[in-house]
Amino acid sequence: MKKTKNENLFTQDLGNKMIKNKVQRPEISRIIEIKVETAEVRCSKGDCDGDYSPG
Amino acid sequence: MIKLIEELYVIPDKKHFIVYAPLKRKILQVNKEFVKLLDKIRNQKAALFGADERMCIESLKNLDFINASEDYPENTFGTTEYSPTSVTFLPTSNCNLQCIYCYSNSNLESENLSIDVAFKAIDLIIENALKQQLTQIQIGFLGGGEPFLEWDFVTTIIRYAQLEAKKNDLSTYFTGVTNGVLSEKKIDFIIKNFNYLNISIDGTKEIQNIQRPKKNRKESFESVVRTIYRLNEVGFKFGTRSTISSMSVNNMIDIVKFLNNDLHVKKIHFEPLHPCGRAKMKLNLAPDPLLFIANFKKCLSITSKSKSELFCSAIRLDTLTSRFCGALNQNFYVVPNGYVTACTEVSSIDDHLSEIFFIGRFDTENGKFVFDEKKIRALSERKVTNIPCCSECIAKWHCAGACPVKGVLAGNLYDPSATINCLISKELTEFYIKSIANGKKGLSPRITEIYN
Repeated sequence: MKKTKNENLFTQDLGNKMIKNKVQRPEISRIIEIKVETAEVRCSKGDCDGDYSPG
Repeated sequence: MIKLIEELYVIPDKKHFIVYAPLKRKILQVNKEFVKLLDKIRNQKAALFGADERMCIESLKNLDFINASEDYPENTFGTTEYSPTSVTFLPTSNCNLQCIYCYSNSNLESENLSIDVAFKAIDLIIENALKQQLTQIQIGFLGGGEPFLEWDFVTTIIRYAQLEAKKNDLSTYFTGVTNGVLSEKKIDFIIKNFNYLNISIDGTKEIQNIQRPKKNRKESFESVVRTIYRLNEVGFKFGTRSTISSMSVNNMIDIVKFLNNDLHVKKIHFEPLHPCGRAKMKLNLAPDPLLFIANFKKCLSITSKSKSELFCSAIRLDTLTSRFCGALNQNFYVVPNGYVTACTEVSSIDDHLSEIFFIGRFDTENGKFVFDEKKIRALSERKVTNIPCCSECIAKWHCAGACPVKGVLAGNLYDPSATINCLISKELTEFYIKSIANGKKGLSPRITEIYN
Protein backbone atom coordinates (compact mmCIF):
# COMPACT_ATOMS: atom_id res chain seq x y z
CA MET A 1 0.00 0.00 0.00
CA LYS A 2 1.28 3.38 -0.90
CA LYS A 3 1.56 5.76 1.94
CA THR A 4 0.13 9.24 1.74
CA LYS A 5 2.12 12.22 2.83
CA ASN A 6 -0.04 12.47 5.92
CA GLU A 7 0.45 8.85 6.81
CA ASN A 8 4.18 9.30 6.52
CA LEU A 9 4.02 12.27 8.82
CA PHE A 10 1.91 10.31 11.27
CA THR A 11 4.38 7.40 11.28
CA GLN A 12 7.30 9.76 11.73
CA ASP A 13 5.53 11.52 14.57
CA LEU A 14 4.78 8.27 16.34
CA GLY A 15 8.35 7.15 15.87
CA ASN A 16 9.64 10.36 17.41
CA LYS A 17 7.31 9.93 20.34
CA MET A 18 8.50 6.39 20.82
CA ILE A 19 12.14 7.48 20.74
CA LYS A 20 11.28 10.27 23.15
CA ASN A 21 9.53 7.82 25.45
CA LYS A 22 12.54 5.54 25.36
CA VAL A 23 14.85 8.35 26.40
CA GLN A 24 12.50 9.31 29.21
CA ARG A 25 12.81 5.92 30.89
CA PRO A 26 15.41 5.83 33.66
CA GLU A 27 18.21 3.55 32.53
CA ILE A 28 21.51 2.17 33.69
CA SER A 29 23.68 1.64 30.64
CA ARG A 30 26.73 0.29 32.42
CA ILE A 31 27.71 -1.06 35.82
CA ILE A 32 31.34 -1.23 36.73
CA GLU A 33 32.67 -2.91 39.80
CA ILE A 34 36.08 -1.82 41.01
CA LYS A 35 38.20 -4.55 42.49
CA VAL A 36 41.23 -3.47 44.42
CA GLU A 37 43.91 -4.87 46.57
CA THR A 38 44.06 -2.36 49.36
CA ALA A 39 47.24 -1.18 51.04
CA GLU A 40 46.38 -3.08 54.20
CA VAL A 41 45.94 -6.33 52.27
CA ARG A 42 49.19 -5.78 50.40
CA CYS A 43 51.03 -4.92 53.61
CA SER A 44 49.59 -7.96 55.38
CA LYS A 45 51.17 -10.03 52.62
CA GLY A 46 54.44 -8.26 53.26
CA ASP A 47 54.25 -6.29 50.06
CA CYS A 48 54.00 -2.68 51.10
CA ASP A 49 56.07 -1.44 48.19
CA GLY A 50 56.75 1.84 49.90
CA ASP A 51 53.13 2.88 49.95
CA TYR A 52 52.62 6.52 50.76
CA SER A 53 53.04 6.77 54.53
CA PRO A 54 51.77 3.33 55.47
CA GLY A 55 50.66 3.54 59.04
CA MET B 1 10.09 3.18 52.84
CA ILE B 2 13.11 3.02 50.60
CA LYS B 3 16.30 4.75 51.57
CA LEU B 4 19.26 5.41 49.33
CA ILE B 5 22.77 5.06 50.66
CA GLU B 6 24.34 8.38 51.63
CA GLU B 7 27.65 8.06 49.83
CA LEU B 8 26.49 8.47 46.27
CA TYR B 9 27.93 11.05 43.89
CA VAL B 10 26.56 12.13 40.52
CA ILE B 11 28.73 13.72 37.85
CA PRO B 12 27.69 14.77 34.35
CA ASP B 13 29.70 13.23 31.53
CA LYS B 14 29.06 14.06 27.87
CA LYS B 15 25.76 12.34 26.97
CA HIS B 16 25.53 10.41 30.23
CA PHE B 17 25.67 10.83 33.94
CA ILE B 18 27.94 8.87 36.20
CA VAL B 19 26.85 7.65 39.61
CA TYR B 20 29.75 6.83 41.88
CA ALA B 21 29.37 4.85 45.10
CA PRO B 22 32.87 4.81 46.64
CA LEU B 23 32.02 2.66 49.65
CA LYS B 24 30.31 0.09 47.42
CA ARG B 25 33.18 0.24 44.91
CA LYS B 26 30.74 0.73 42.04
CA ILE B 27 30.36 3.10 39.12
CA LEU B 28 27.16 3.37 37.07
CA GLN B 29 26.67 5.05 33.75
CA VAL B 30 23.07 6.29 33.65
CA ASN B 31 20.78 8.70 31.86
CA LYS B 32 19.26 11.94 33.08
CA GLU B 33 15.99 10.25 34.05
CA PHE B 34 17.85 7.90 36.31
CA VAL B 35 19.42 10.84 38.10
CA LYS B 36 15.94 12.32 38.53
CA LEU B 37 14.79 9.02 39.99
CA LEU B 38 17.64 9.07 42.48
CA ASP B 39 16.58 12.55 43.48
CA LYS B 40 12.98 11.37 43.82
CA ILE B 41 14.00 8.50 46.07
CA ARG B 42 16.40 10.62 48.09
CA ASN B 43 13.79 13.29 48.75
CA GLN B 44 10.87 10.88 49.07
CA LYS B 45 9.07 12.99 46.48
CA ALA B 46 6.74 10.26 45.35
CA ALA B 47 4.98 7.49 47.16
CA LEU B 48 4.32 5.67 43.90
CA PHE B 49 6.78 4.78 41.24
CA GLY B 50 6.09 3.79 37.64
CA ALA B 51 6.90 0.35 36.26
CA ASP B 52 10.23 1.49 34.75
CA GLU B 53 11.17 3.22 37.96
CA ARG B 54 10.35 0.13 40.00
CA MET B 55 12.66 -1.89 37.76
CA CYS B 56 15.46 0.57 38.39
CA ILE B 57 14.77 0.46 42.13
CA GLU B 58 15.14 -3.32 41.99
CA SER B 59 18.49 -2.87 40.24
CA LEU B 60 19.53 -0.41 42.93
CA LYS B 61 18.57 -2.93 45.60
CA ASN B 62 20.64 -5.60 43.86
CA LEU B 63 23.55 -3.19 43.79
CA ASP B 64 23.19 -2.70 47.54
CA PHE B 65 22.38 0.98 47.08
CA ILE B 66 19.00 0.86 48.83
CA ASN B 67 18.26 0.15 52.48
CA ALA B 68 21.87 -0.97 52.79
CA SER B 69 24.45 -0.44 55.47
CA GLU B 70 27.44 1.76 54.80
CA ASP B 71 30.51 1.02 56.83
CA TYR B 72 32.96 3.86 56.96
CA PRO B 73 36.57 2.79 56.62
CA GLU B 74 37.61 3.86 60.11
CA ASN B 75 40.82 1.97 60.64
CA THR B 76 42.51 1.52 57.35
CA PHE B 77 45.88 1.05 58.93
CA GLY B 78 46.30 -0.92 62.10
CA THR B 79 44.37 -0.66 65.31
CA THR B 80 42.84 2.41 66.93
CA GLU B 81 45.22 2.22 69.85
CA TYR B 82 48.70 3.57 69.14
CA SER B 83 50.78 0.44 68.97
CA PRO B 84 53.15 0.64 65.99
CA THR B 85 54.66 -2.48 64.49
CA SER B 86 56.77 -0.58 62.02
CA VAL B 87 59.42 2.02 62.62
CA THR B 88 61.10 4.42 60.27
CA PHE B 89 64.47 5.88 61.16
CA LEU B 90 65.72 9.24 60.04
CA PRO B 91 69.34 8.53 60.95
CA THR B 92 70.84 11.85 59.91
CA SER B 93 70.16 15.34 58.71
CA ASN B 94 73.35 15.21 56.59
CA CYS B 95 72.99 14.78 52.87
CA ASN B 96 75.26 14.34 49.87
CA LEU B 97 72.80 16.32 47.76
CA GLN B 98 71.64 19.90 48.10
CA CYS B 99 68.15 19.78 46.57
CA ILE B 100 66.75 23.23 45.93
CA TYR B 101 63.46 22.42 47.64
CA CYS B 102 64.48 19.98 50.42
CA TYR B 103 61.56 19.65 52.84
CA SER B 104 63.81 18.88 55.76
CA ASN B 105 66.29 21.66 55.06
CA SER B 106 69.10 19.12 55.27
CA ASN B 107 72.74 19.99 55.94
CA LEU B 108 71.83 22.98 58.12
CA GLU B 109 72.65 21.24 61.35
CA SER B 110 74.42 17.95 61.64
CA GLU B 111 72.55 15.56 63.92
CA ASN B 112 72.63 11.78 64.07
CA LEU B 113 70.44 9.19 65.70
CA SER B 114 71.90 7.08 68.49
CA ILE B 115 72.06 3.36 67.78
CA ASP B 116 70.88 2.50 71.31
CA VAL B 117 67.70 4.52 70.82
CA ALA B 118 67.13 2.72 67.52
CA PHE B 119 67.57 -0.69 69.21
CA LYS B 120 64.88 0.29 71.73
CA ALA B 121 62.56 1.28 68.90
CA ILE B 122 62.96 -2.17 67.34
CA ASP B 123 62.37 -3.83 70.70
CA LEU B 124 59.15 -1.84 71.00
CA ILE B 125 57.74 -2.80 67.59
CA ILE B 126 58.59 -6.45 68.24
CA GLU B 127 56.73 -6.26 71.55
CA ASN B 128 53.73 -4.66 69.80
CA ALA B 129 53.75 -7.19 66.96
CA LEU B 130 53.74 -10.07 69.44
CA LYS B 131 50.89 -8.50 71.43
CA GLN B 132 48.88 -8.13 68.23
CA GLN B 133 49.82 -11.65 67.13
CA LEU B 134 51.33 -10.35 63.91
CA THR B 135 54.01 -12.18 62.01
CA GLN B 136 56.07 -9.33 60.66
CA ILE B 137 57.80 -6.11 61.64
CA GLN B 138 58.70 -3.37 59.18
CA ILE B 139 61.71 -1.12 59.33
CA GLY B 140 62.29 1.86 57.09
CA PHE B 141 65.10 4.34 56.53
CA LEU B 142 64.35 7.83 55.35
CA GLY B 143 65.70 11.40 55.22
CA GLY B 144 66.12 14.01 57.12
CA GLY B 145 69.17 13.90 54.96
CA GLU B 146 70.34 10.84 53.03
CA PRO B 147 69.79 7.87 55.37
CA PHE B 148 72.43 5.68 53.72
CA LEU B 149 75.18 8.13 54.58
CA GLU B 150 74.94 6.63 58.07
CA TRP B 151 75.93 3.27 56.69
CA ASP B 152 77.18 1.70 59.92
CA PHE B 153 73.90 2.67 61.57
CA VAL B 154 71.85 1.10 58.77
CA THR B 155 73.76 -2.19 58.65
CA THR B 156 73.85 -2.52 62.45
CA ILE B 157 70.12 -1.92 62.69
CA ILE B 158 69.37 -4.45 59.98
CA ARG B 159 71.45 -7.13 61.66
CA TYR B 160 69.90 -6.37 65.03
CA ALA B 161 66.35 -6.42 63.66
CA GLN B 162 66.95 -9.66 61.74
CA LEU B 163 68.36 -11.31 64.83
CA GLU B 164 65.67 -10.10 67.25
CA ALA B 165 62.86 -10.88 64.81
CA LYS B 166 64.16 -14.40 64.30
CA LYS B 167 64.28 -14.97 68.07
CA ASN B 168 60.58 -14.09 68.19
CA ASP B 169 59.50 -15.97 65.06
CA LEU B 170 58.82 -12.76 63.18
CA SER B 171 59.75 -11.90 59.63
CA THR B 172 61.23 -8.56 58.63
CA TYR B 173 60.44 -6.11 55.84
CA PHE B 174 63.05 -3.44 55.11
CA THR B 175 62.42 -0.37 53.01
CA GLY B 176 64.49 2.69 52.26
CA VAL B 177 64.07 6.05 50.63
CA THR B 178 67.24 7.30 49.01
CA ASN B 179 68.52 9.90 46.61
CA GLY B 180 70.16 7.03 44.72
CA VAL B 181 73.72 8.34 44.93
CA LEU B 182 75.11 5.11 46.31
CA SER B 183 78.33 3.14 46.07
CA GLU B 184 78.41 -0.33 44.52
CA LYS B 185 79.00 -1.84 47.95
CA LYS B 186 75.89 -0.18 49.39
CA ILE B 187 73.74 -1.16 46.42
CA ASP B 188 74.84 -4.79 46.78
CA PHE B 189 73.97 -4.78 50.48
CA ILE B 190 70.54 -3.25 49.76
CA ILE B 191 69.81 -5.85 47.09
CA LYS B 192 70.70 -8.60 49.53
CA ASN B 193 68.89 -7.28 52.61
CA PHE B 194 66.11 -4.87 51.62
CA ASN B 195 62.66 -5.66 50.31
CA TYR B 196 61.92 -2.36 48.60
CA LEU B 197 63.63 0.89 47.73
CA ASN B 198 62.22 4.24 46.75
CA ILE B 199 64.57 6.41 44.74
CA SER B 200 64.11 10.14 44.38
CA ILE B 201 64.81 11.23 40.83
CA ASP B 202 63.24 14.33 39.36
CA GLY B 203 63.46 13.26 35.78
CA THR B 204 65.61 13.85 32.79
CA LYS B 205 69.24 14.87 33.11
CA GLU B 206 68.75 18.62 32.98
CA ILE B 207 65.92 18.75 35.54
CA GLN B 208 67.61 16.31 37.91
CA ASN B 209 70.84 18.26 37.90
CA ILE B 210 69.11 21.60 38.46
CA GLN B 211 66.74 20.43 41.19
CA ARG B 212 68.90 17.81 42.85
CA PRO B 213 72.57 18.78 42.58
CA LYS B 214 75.22 17.19 44.74
CA LYS B 215 76.33 19.04 47.84
CA ASN B 216 79.56 19.90 46.04
CA ARG B 217 77.45 21.37 43.18
CA LYS B 218 78.33 18.51 40.84
CA GLU B 219 75.70 16.69 38.82
CA SER B 220 73.84 13.77 40.42
CA PHE B 221 72.05 12.37 37.37
CA GLU B 222 74.59 9.75 36.24
CA SER B 223 75.00 8.30 39.75
CA VAL B 224 71.25 7.87 40.25
CA VAL B 225 70.72 6.31 36.84
CA ARG B 226 73.60 3.89 37.49
CA THR B 227 71.85 2.75 40.69
CA ILE B 228 68.58 2.19 38.82
CA TYR B 229 70.32 0.18 36.08
CA ARG B 230 71.92 -2.02 38.73
CA LEU B 231 68.58 -2.65 40.49
CA ASN B 232 66.96 -3.49 37.15
CA GLU B 233 69.73 -5.93 36.32
CA VAL B 234 68.93 -8.09 39.33
CA GLY B 235 65.15 -7.52 39.28
CA PHE B 236 65.08 -5.73 42.65
CA LYS B 237 61.72 -4.11 43.50
CA PHE B 238 61.90 -0.34 43.55
CA GLY B 239 59.93 2.75 42.68
CA THR B 240 60.82 6.33 41.92
CA ARG B 241 59.53 9.57 43.28
CA SER B 242 59.75 12.79 41.29
CA THR B 243 59.00 16.14 42.79
CA ILE B 244 57.31 18.26 40.15
CA SER B 245 58.17 21.94 40.38
CA SER B 246 57.22 25.00 38.36
CA MET B 247 60.39 24.31 36.36
CA SER B 248 59.49 20.72 35.50
CA VAL B 249 55.69 20.75 35.29
CA ASN B 250 55.81 21.22 31.52
CA ASN B 251 58.28 18.37 31.18
CA MET B 252 56.15 15.76 32.95
CA ILE B 253 55.55 13.80 29.77
CA ASP B 254 59.28 13.67 28.96
CA ILE B 255 59.97 12.64 32.54
CA VAL B 256 57.44 9.82 32.53
CA LYS B 257 58.69 8.62 29.14
CA PHE B 258 62.25 8.61 30.44
CA LEU B 259 61.38 6.75 33.64
CA ASN B 260 58.98 4.36 31.96
CA ASN B 261 60.67 3.67 28.62
CA ASP B 262 64.36 4.19 29.33
CA LEU B 263 64.70 3.23 32.98
CA HIS B 264 61.83 0.69 33.03
CA VAL B 265 60.49 1.95 36.33
CA LYS B 266 57.30 0.12 37.23
CA LYS B 267 56.16 2.38 40.02
CA ILE B 268 56.39 6.10 39.30
CA HIS B 269 55.35 8.58 41.95
CA PHE B 270 54.85 12.23 40.95
CA GLU B 271 54.27 14.72 43.72
CA PRO B 272 53.75 18.45 43.23
CA LEU B 273 56.34 20.49 45.08
CA HIS B 274 55.03 21.94 48.26
CA PRO B 275 56.79 25.00 49.61
CA CYS B 276 58.22 23.75 52.88
CA GLY B 277 61.75 23.41 54.25
CA ARG B 278 64.24 25.01 51.86
CA ALA B 279 61.50 25.66 49.28
CA LYS B 280 59.66 27.95 51.71
CA MET B 281 62.04 30.68 50.64
CA LYS B 282 61.21 30.11 46.97
CA LEU B 283 57.43 30.18 46.69
CA ASN B 284 57.51 30.31 42.90
CA LEU B 285 58.86 26.73 42.83
CA ALA B 286 55.39 25.25 43.36
CA PRO B 287 53.82 24.10 40.06
CA ASP B 288 50.59 25.47 38.66
CA PRO B 289 48.10 22.79 39.83
CA LEU B 290 46.08 22.99 36.62
CA LEU B 291 49.18 22.29 34.54
CA PHE B 292 50.07 19.44 36.89
CA ILE B 293 46.60 17.92 36.44
CA ALA B 294 46.56 18.30 32.66
CA ASN B 295 50.01 16.77 32.26
CA PHE B 296 49.34 14.00 34.78
CA LYS B 297 46.39 12.88 32.64
CA LYS B 298 48.60 12.75 29.56
CA CYS B 299 51.26 10.82 31.48
CA LEU B 300 48.66 8.24 32.51
CA SER B 301 48.02 7.36 28.90
CA ILE B 302 51.72 6.44 28.60
CA THR B 303 52.01 4.35 31.77
CA SER B 304 48.68 2.57 31.29
CA LYS B 305 49.97 1.11 28.00
CA SER B 306 53.04 -0.35 29.64
CA LYS B 307 51.29 -1.62 32.78
CA SER B 308 53.49 0.47 35.03
CA GLU B 309 51.94 2.52 37.77
CA LEU B 310 51.86 6.30 37.90
CA PHE B 311 50.52 7.75 41.10
CA CYS B 312 50.32 10.79 43.28
CA SER B 313 49.29 10.92 46.94
CA ALA B 314 46.30 13.08 46.00
CA ILE B 315 44.77 10.41 43.77
CA ARG B 316 44.19 7.02 45.31
CA LEU B 317 41.11 5.34 43.93
CA ASP B 318 42.35 2.01 45.27
CA THR B 319 42.38 3.30 48.83
CA LEU B 320 39.34 3.73 51.05
CA THR B 321 40.23 5.49 54.23
CA SER B 322 39.01 8.03 56.71
CA ARG B 323 42.53 9.28 57.43
CA PHE B 324 44.96 10.53 54.83
CA CYS B 325 48.06 8.81 56.12
CA GLY B 326 49.79 7.08 58.99
CA ALA B 327 50.66 10.45 60.58
CA LEU B 328 47.08 10.35 61.85
CA ASN B 329 47.34 6.80 63.07
CA GLN B 330 50.37 4.57 63.61
CA ASN B 331 53.43 6.36 62.25
CA PHE B 332 56.51 5.90 64.40
CA TYR B 333 59.33 7.92 62.89
CA VAL B 334 62.41 8.31 65.04
CA VAL B 335 64.47 11.41 64.25
CA PRO B 336 68.13 12.15 65.07
CA ASN B 337 67.67 13.50 68.60
CA GLY B 338 65.48 10.62 69.75
CA TYR B 339 62.19 12.43 69.23
CA VAL B 340 59.28 10.64 67.60
CA THR B 341 57.49 12.41 64.81
CA ALA B 342 54.29 11.33 63.09
CA CYS B 343 55.39 12.88 59.82
CA THR B 344 58.69 12.93 57.94
CA GLU B 345 57.98 16.44 56.77
CA VAL B 346 58.30 17.62 60.36
CA SER B 347 61.64 16.22 61.43
CA SER B 348 63.12 18.96 63.63
CA ILE B 349 62.04 20.08 67.08
CA ASP B 350 62.76 23.63 65.88
CA ASP B 351 59.98 23.38 63.33
CA HIS B 352 56.88 25.08 64.79
CA LEU B 353 54.79 22.17 63.49
CA SER B 354 56.58 19.88 65.93
CA GLU B 355 54.04 21.09 68.51
CA ILE B 356 51.46 19.08 66.59
CA PHE B 357 53.45 16.27 65.00
CA PHE B 358 56.12 15.38 67.57
CA ILE B 359 54.28 12.68 69.46
CA GLY B 360 56.96 11.26 71.73
CA ARG B 361 60.61 10.96 72.65
CA PHE B 362 63.10 8.51 74.01
CA ASP B 363 63.36 8.95 77.77
CA THR B 364 67.02 8.32 78.57
CA GLU B 365 66.38 8.09 82.32
CA ASN B 366 63.89 5.25 82.01
CA GLY B 367 65.43 3.80 78.87
CA LYS B 368 62.15 3.70 76.96
CA PHE B 369 59.97 5.66 74.58
CA VAL B 370 57.29 7.86 76.06
CA PHE B 371 54.37 9.04 73.97
CA ASP B 372 52.06 12.01 74.23
CA GLU B 373 48.67 10.28 74.15
CA LYS B 374 46.85 13.62 73.93
CA LYS B 375 48.68 14.59 70.74
CA ILE B 376 48.20 11.13 69.23
CA ARG B 377 44.48 11.32 69.98
CA ALA B 378 44.26 14.82 68.53
CA LEU B 379 45.91 13.66 65.29
CA SER B 380 43.72 10.57 65.03
CA GLU B 381 40.65 12.82 65.23
CA ARG B 382 41.66 14.41 61.96
CA LYS B 383 39.35 12.12 60.01
CA VAL B 384 37.49 13.05 56.86
CA THR B 385 34.19 12.85 58.73
CA ASN B 386 35.43 15.73 60.91
CA ILE B 387 36.49 17.95 58.01
CA PRO B 388 33.48 20.06 56.95
CA CYS B 389 34.77 21.10 53.52
CA CYS B 390 35.18 17.44 52.47
CA SER B 391 31.60 16.40 53.21
CA GLU B 392 30.34 16.70 49.61
CA CYS B 393 33.57 15.83 47.83
CA ILE B 394 33.71 12.89 45.45
CA ALA B 395 37.31 12.16 46.51
CA LYS B 396 36.61 12.18 50.23
CA TRP B 397 37.08 8.46 50.97
CA HIS B 398 40.23 8.29 48.87
CA CYS B 399 41.96 11.52 49.78
CA ALA B 400 40.51 11.75 53.31
CA GLY B 401 41.24 15.43 53.77
CA ALA B 402 44.68 15.37 52.11
CA CYS B 403 47.99 15.92 53.83
CA PRO B 404 47.56 17.31 57.36
CA VAL B 405 50.91 19.12 57.30
CA LYS B 406 49.95 20.96 54.14
CA GLY B 407 46.60 21.80 55.73
CA VAL B 408 48.30 23.37 58.75
CA LEU B 409 50.71 25.28 56.54
CA ALA B 410 47.76 26.59 54.53
CA GLY B 411 46.22 27.86 57.76
CA ASN B 412 44.01 25.13 59.22
CA LEU B 413 44.52 21.44 60.03
CA TYR B 414 40.80 20.91 59.39
CA ASP B 415 40.58 22.84 56.14
CA PRO B 416 42.65 21.49 53.25
CA SER B 417 40.64 23.41 50.65
CA ALA B 418 43.37 26.01 50.16
CA THR B 419 46.02 23.41 49.30
CA ILE B 420 46.82 22.53 45.70
CA ASN B 421 46.50 18.84 46.61
CA CYS B 422 42.81 19.39 47.29
CA LEU B 423 42.19 20.63 43.77
CA ILE B 424 44.39 17.91 42.26
CA SER B 425 42.58 15.24 44.24
CA LYS B 426 39.10 16.35 43.16
CA GLU B 427 40.00 16.79 39.51
CA LEU B 428 41.97 13.58 39.11
CA THR B 429 39.53 11.44 41.08
CA GLU B 430 36.75 12.63 38.79
CA PHE B 431 38.96 11.98 35.77
CA TYR B 432 39.68 8.39 36.89
CA ILE B 433 36.00 7.69 37.51
CA LYS B 434 34.94 9.11 34.15
CA SER B 435 37.69 7.20 32.37
CA ILE B 436 36.67 3.91 33.97
CA ALA B 437 32.99 4.58 33.24
CA ASN B 438 33.91 5.08 29.61
CA GLY B 439 35.71 1.77 29.37
CA LYS B 440 39.30 2.89 29.86
CA LYS B 441 41.31 0.17 31.54
CA GLY B 442 44.73 0.03 33.09
CA LEU B 443 44.93 3.47 34.72
CA SER B 444 46.27 1.79 37.80
CA PRO B 445 47.56 -1.78 38.07
CA ARG B 446 46.04 -1.84 41.56
CA ILE B 447 42.53 -1.56 40.16
CA THR B 448 40.62 -4.18 38.22
CA GLU B 449 37.51 -2.97 36.49
CA ILE B 450 34.67 -5.45 35.97
CA TYR B 451 32.18 -4.25 33.39
CA ASN B 452 28.63 -5.59 33.54
